[in-house]
Amino acid sequence: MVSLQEKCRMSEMNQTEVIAKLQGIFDMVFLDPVVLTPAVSAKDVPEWDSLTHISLMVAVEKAFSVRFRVGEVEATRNVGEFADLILKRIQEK
Amino acid sequence: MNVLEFVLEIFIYIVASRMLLRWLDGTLREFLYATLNVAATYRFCLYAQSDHFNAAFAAYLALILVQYLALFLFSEQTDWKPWLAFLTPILFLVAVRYIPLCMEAKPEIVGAEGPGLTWSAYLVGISYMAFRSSHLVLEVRNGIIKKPGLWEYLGFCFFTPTMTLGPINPYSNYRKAFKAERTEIPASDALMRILVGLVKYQFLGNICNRLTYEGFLLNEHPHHWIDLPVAAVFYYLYLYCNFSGFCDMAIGAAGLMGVPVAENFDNPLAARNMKEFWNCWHITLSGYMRDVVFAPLSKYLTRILGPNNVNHAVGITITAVFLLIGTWHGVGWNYFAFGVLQALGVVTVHYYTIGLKKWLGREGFRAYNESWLIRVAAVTGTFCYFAASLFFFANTVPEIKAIYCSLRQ
Repeated sequence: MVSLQEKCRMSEMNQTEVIAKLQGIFDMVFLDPVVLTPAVSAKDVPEWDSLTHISLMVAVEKAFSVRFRVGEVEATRNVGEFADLILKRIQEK
Repeated sequence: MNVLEFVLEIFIYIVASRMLLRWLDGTLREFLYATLNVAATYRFCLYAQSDHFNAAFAAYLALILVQYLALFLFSEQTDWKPWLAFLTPILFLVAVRYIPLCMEAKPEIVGAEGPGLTWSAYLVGISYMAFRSSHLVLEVRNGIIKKPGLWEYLGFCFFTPTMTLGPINPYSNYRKAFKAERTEIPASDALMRILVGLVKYQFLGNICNRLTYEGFLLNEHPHHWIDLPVAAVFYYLYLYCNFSGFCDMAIGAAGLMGVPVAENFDNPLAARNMKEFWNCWHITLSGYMRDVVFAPLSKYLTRILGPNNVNHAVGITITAVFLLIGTWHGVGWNYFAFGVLQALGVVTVHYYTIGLKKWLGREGFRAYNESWLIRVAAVTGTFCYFAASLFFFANTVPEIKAIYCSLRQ
């Protein structure tokens, strides 16, 4: 459960901060280290397959207390757009 | 309609489409483009394909107008309401293909003199229509695109090159052609694509078809058992040439019109396992199933079973996806069996990969993937597996029995 304080702090995050938090999640999910930049996409990471993708999404939803809609994560082209989507979902809460 | 007339009409359609996209703008363009595509679909997909095209056309128009109403009313609502718009085209598809009461096209409605065909036979391309339309709802709901007006929607739904056999082109991709800052598709590339497609579809496909089940094994003569794998291999090659050739022509024709269409094949014959295969074969269907079924269901199951069981959550989801794909291809136990074999193949790869990574470690797994010997074996095995699984796709139960009898003589 995310505290009210944490929720307030998350609503003020920017893309860079979201990517920094995503880095921690990626480090947990992937065996090989992945250095995240806004331009990184799934195609750049050999280990990013359907299994790691689902593990990643469940971990991201839990860490940011968001729920993604059907198809919207798959429509993002890179980590930068993914971070923007996370911000959008945080701000809609 | 003779070939020259057909080619001339297609040429006129393509030129008219390109002119509308380049020289007009605003509501007038949308209205004329929709009218052009509705007329072209009527002419090339319905009039040319069916004896009772007026009934099919009226049914299509009615379905699409109801779909548009649902999109207009619900797609931008909150909570569960957008699902009403999403499910409308899917429910039409299910009703037309799978519900016996809805399947039969009554002769008095279609104007046939005797027992007619099913609505599914008249409504050419309804599956692709359903997937395109429902995916559009998701794109509107997720804020990727603006909700289309009626003329934009009709132009998209009736877009003729992809009407009958896909690819399932996302609306966001299709609309790139309408933007001022669009990327031009070189006409030479588009023409070459059409030529390649024509060679595959008309020439290579027809040659391979001579040695498939229908052309070879089901000729009421006895056969040696070796004829079965021969037919299996040539059916796979025929299907690839036929389907990918048609998609090449559709993508090329759309390219001449200036409309980008998503790719549907990426050298599937060289796939090293069934998971890679389904990322290279009918790519737009795999993408749709990934977005609509795989991702949501596997996330849901992972939450239920716990993150430690994500492997099993994904395994169960893969099974569900391919059983759906099997039954989507047709009504019958043979199509279900086809789906079961696809599920078995991909689930096996899923657990095999997990096991390999644990057993070999990071460096060992990398070496395994880079070995050419293993690659050759894997590609050959995948080719044979999919060719064998198509036995159920290609043959009805009576045909399977007839083949069995011909091999036993």
